[in-house]
Amino acid sequence: MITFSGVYKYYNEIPVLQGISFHIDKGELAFITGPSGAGKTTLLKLIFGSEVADEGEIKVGDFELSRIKNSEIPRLRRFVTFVFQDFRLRQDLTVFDNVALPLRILGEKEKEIKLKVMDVLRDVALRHKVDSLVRTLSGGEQQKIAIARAVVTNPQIILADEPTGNLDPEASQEIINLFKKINTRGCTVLIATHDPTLFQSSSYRVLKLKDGKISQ
Amino acid sequence: MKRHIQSAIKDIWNNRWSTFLSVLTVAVCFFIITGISILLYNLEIFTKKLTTKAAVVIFLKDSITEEQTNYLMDQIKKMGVFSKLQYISKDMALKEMKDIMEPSLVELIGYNPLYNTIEAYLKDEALTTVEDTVNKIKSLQFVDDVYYPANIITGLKIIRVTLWNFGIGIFILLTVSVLFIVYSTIRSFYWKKTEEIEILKLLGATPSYIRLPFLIEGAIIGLIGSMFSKLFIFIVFLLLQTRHIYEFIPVLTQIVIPLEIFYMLPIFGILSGVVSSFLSVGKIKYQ
Ligand SMILES: Nc1ncnc2c1ncn2[C@@H]1O[C@H](COP(=O)(O)OP(=O)(O)OP(=O)(O)O)[C@@H](O)[C@H]1O
Ligand SMILES: [Mg+2]
Repeated sequence: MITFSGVYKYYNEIPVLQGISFHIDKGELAFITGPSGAGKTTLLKLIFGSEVADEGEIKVGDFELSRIKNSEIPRLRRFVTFVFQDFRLRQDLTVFDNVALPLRILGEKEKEIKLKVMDVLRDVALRHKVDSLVRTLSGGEQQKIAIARAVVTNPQIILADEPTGNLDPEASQEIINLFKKINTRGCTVLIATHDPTLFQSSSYRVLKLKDGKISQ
Repeated sequence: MKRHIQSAIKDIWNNRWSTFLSVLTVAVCFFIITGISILLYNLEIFTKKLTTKAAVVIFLKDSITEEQTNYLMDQIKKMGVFSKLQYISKDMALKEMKDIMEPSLVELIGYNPLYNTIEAYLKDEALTTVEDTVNKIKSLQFVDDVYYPANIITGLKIIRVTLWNFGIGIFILLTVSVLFIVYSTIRSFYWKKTEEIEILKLLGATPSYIRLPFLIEGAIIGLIGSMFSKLFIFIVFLLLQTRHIYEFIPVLTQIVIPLEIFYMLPIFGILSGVVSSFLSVGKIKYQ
């Protein structure tokens, strides 16, 4: 599903990723970990097509990201969705309108949209907040809305960047369980985190990122 | 589509004062553009009237036979610059003369001093090349001389060319201004929504999805601008009538306002609005 072969990425000639190679299968749930500044976010952005690798090949589904055209990126982003560290929610809109946005972009009917949004809000246990403005929600609630928006279109791959960044351990576990649930439906999930407690007691694959290289 | 239109209207409402100002400026530009179009249109009508009156008169040699006359007329017809040719024999001309003059006076001369002539009426578009045409006809066999109203035609030619150049110049200038006004208005809308647009890009929105609300906004500005300019024209029209200005400048009563303008204007408005907002949003880059 995701294949990196010999990927290099530099920012202003400073290397961040130095010859990364790995493969993630369809339906896998994997963690990327490493100290702050290791390049976890950079790696996810490469998969999402918002950064371009300086060397090497990245294959995501049928997309060859080293040769992808600007006009193909929207299609890629329907295949892969991203839960951003800073959520990237529309603070001025309601929970409903935020979660509905990707469906509206796809041009779905408003009736369909309503059903799907309600479904996914039930998954994150925030159905009662459907008409609240996002800016009135707590950090943990906004995190869940960001996840809801990422799954509502049923993507093949979900990338999550520090999805438990500012949550207490209990809320963090809840979020991880949510991703596990999404994963059991066949969606490939890749989570970047520097919190080892999230995966310590599980059998999921962990990619350790250090000095621009990966050790598994 | 409904959602895009709603979003466009909301944007316009949120920026109603800047939108209003640009709509007004667009309206003034369209008003002047329309005025110039009406002027040029009337100029064309005027020239047409004049040219149909201004005939080229071709005097034929006395010795010409009927066959040769027909041949000559064919040749002149083939030049393709005349809308109508009329042969007037010297006998016919004499008869006409007797109608307007005392016949006995005409008899006094004792012979027919008139020429066989061809009156040739120019096509509108041939007006500008009348000298060439006349020279060409003069060189034809059996032609004695050619007369044409040189002063009127060359004078008209100069006025026409000057006014057209002037009109087209202003037309282009104002069209560019309209494009620029809509361009910068939409650009400011776009900048205010960068955050929103960034999110749309991350959620997989296509360039056309992102552009559409702005194109609709541009179209609305162009459309309302053209409506306002129609209103201005209407007001001017009313003022002219109520203030008896026609009595002072009688030429004004002759002015024809082509009705096409009233549907061309909104089309032109929408088109220029869409084009400039398209340019304003530019390429949507995802990386
Ligand atoms: N747009 C950019 N321009 C320049 N340098 C950048 C840019 N983005 C990231 N970097 C640098 O690349 C390195 C890796 O950044 P990245 O955000 O991928 O790290 P991270 O592993 O996600 O860290 P954290 O755990 O703190 O989120 C950092 O040193 C960062 O300063
Ligand atoms: Mg990061």
